[in-house]
Amino acid sequence: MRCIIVPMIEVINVGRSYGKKPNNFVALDGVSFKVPDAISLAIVGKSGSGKSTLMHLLGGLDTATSGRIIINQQDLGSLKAEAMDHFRAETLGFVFQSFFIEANQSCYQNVALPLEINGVPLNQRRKRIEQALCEVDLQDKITQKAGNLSGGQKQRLAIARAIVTNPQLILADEPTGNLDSATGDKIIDLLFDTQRANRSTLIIVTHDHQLAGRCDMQVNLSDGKIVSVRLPETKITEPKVSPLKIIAAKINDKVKKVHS
Amino acid sequence: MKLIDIFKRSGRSLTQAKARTILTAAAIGVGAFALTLTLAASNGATAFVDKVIGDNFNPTELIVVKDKAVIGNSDTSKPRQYDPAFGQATTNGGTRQVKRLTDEDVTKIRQQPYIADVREGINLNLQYLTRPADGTQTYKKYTATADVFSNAQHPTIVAGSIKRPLPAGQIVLPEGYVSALGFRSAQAAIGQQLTIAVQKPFDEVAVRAAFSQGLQTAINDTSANNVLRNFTITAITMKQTTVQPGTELNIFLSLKDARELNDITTQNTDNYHKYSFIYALVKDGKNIQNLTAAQSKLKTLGFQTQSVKDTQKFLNQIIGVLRGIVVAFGVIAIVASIFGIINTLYISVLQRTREIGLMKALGMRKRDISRLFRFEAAWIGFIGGILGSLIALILGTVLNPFITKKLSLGAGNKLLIFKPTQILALIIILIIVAILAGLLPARKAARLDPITALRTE
Repeated sequence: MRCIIVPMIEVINVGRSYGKKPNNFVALDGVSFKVPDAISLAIVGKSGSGKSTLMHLLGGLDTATSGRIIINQQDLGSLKAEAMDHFRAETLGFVFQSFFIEANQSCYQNVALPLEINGVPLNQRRKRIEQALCEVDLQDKITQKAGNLSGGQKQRLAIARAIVTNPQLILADEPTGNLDSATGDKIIDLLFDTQRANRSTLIIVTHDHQLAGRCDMQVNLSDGKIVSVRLPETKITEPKVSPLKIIAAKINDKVKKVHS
Repeated sequence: MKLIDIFKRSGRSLTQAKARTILTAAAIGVGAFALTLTLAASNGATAFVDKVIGDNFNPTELIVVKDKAVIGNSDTSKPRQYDPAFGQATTNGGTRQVKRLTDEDVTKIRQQPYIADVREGINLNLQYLTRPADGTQTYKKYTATADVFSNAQHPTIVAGSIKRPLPAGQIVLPEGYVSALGFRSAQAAIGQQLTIAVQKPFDEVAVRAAFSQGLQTAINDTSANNVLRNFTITAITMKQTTVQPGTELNIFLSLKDARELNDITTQNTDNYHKYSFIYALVKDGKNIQNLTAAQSKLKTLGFQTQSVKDTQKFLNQIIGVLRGIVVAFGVIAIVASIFGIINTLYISVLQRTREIGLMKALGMRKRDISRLFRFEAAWIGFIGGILGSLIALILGTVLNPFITKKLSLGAGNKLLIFKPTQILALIIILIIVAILAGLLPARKAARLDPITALRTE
């Protein structure tokens, strides 16, 4: 018996161009790939390679001029505005290079925003916000103004905001771009940890090949075209790392910190 | 997204730009302030008119005139043919020649089946008013004007009491005369005697007789021409609410006494038994239909009439015009503040471009983003409305006694009457206006492209 694995994300011959012919600018041209469920994917390319455009298309913020993007068997191109909003609110989590947290509001308010958008009842919010902040180790900053946090803490807050709705897909656009390398590494660890723990799909847009190497899958873009794709080594049917291992790793980290 | 969450977020973003919010709200507050005071003042004016009319006029009584000039405007640009019925009268337009009612007219009106009673409009100019000499003690003389006390009048009584109808020989005196006439108190004046002097016009026969006896006698006789009458003070009244300034110190006599004094002062003149206006009591006049029917019937007989309702309507029209002018200024202030709100919200949209982009990226619907800004506008309208009306309320309450005194509105009247329902309605209207002003910026926010908004470079 043959088992048909339906990929979570299917990008079929996607093109995106701006302006009118013949002076149009082609940002993406004939891009096709499939992403299985619950893996991490790196979209790699230099500035102007079209990686941001691809992420916008995957995030439903932009529409392709040709081809189709299917996420969870839903063709994004066929979704109407309200359905698209609903899709984004339910299925996606965003992490941006510049954090985009509301500096004047408390951490609680920041993380509450996606829950409010999803219409989560007030009595369930507190618990979920606390849980999300706990996962990014910001539980003691819940009432603090987000503007008072350090850069790394801000990005952790953004991650908490992205995971609080338990989205299936997290899109991270250069998540370490505004951070020093040590802090950036911690953020990346955190992103991978949460991806594995929640069995969600993580797409990181980056120009950092080292970071891309840590992802299960990699799509390399140049001038709007795919130059190479590295597929996941193993079919993922189970979590690669058991939650126990994650905990063990965390303990190891802490032990290291204590020693140093 | 739930409305309550949008509502809370809109409130929070306002508190983050407190100065801007307060200043924008202050603009709408100026309008609210002006409108609150205007409404209060027109409430006060309407109540004042109602009280004046209620205190002084019988609503079932008509003022009947022969000449329209007495009660309203008439065409004065054309020459008018002389008639012995013409005589001087004080009208809205000053003292002028008007056609007056004669005894025949009065009788004719009295005979109409729909008229219950008629009384002449008598306005007596007294020579003077004083107290009878008390042994060696003499009192100063004061000028005075006397009116007939009508049953419709309900003055505030300080001392004594008034029998209705006022019996002959009694007099109702305003409080202002009490100390002038040397009474210790209003109460002490009750039951005391008062002397009124009216001037009897020269009788041609008497003057001839006087001259025949020599010039000096004739001169002496002119002062002897005053006729004195004594009255008993039955009541002292508080300063009255009146339509015409200058009539606050009018004293009131019974119809019988007034007629008699009027006859004395007009004897042998062409004013004798001629009246610029009379009062006609309409049968079942409480029914407005009977009243208007009587008015139209009297018109066919050649008389002009005015009812209390007409007067009230006329006065309220004036108030309405004045109110309209002030309301217009308030509305202008609000219109100006609309631009302020639009501007503030546009700035708010620009400042929060990223926040809006983020909210859109996170799946917030256009509708909800638009609502967020409309609620913000509503908050500004609400704060402005509360601010303006509250200041108006405090200022009005503090200044009310002072203004009322300055305008001599009389006891028991207030210039400003605040009605909570009006203020509430005003605030609601301001909120709606603010929301309308917020529509454009809200639309701009809703249409923002998240990719452009979130672009970092």
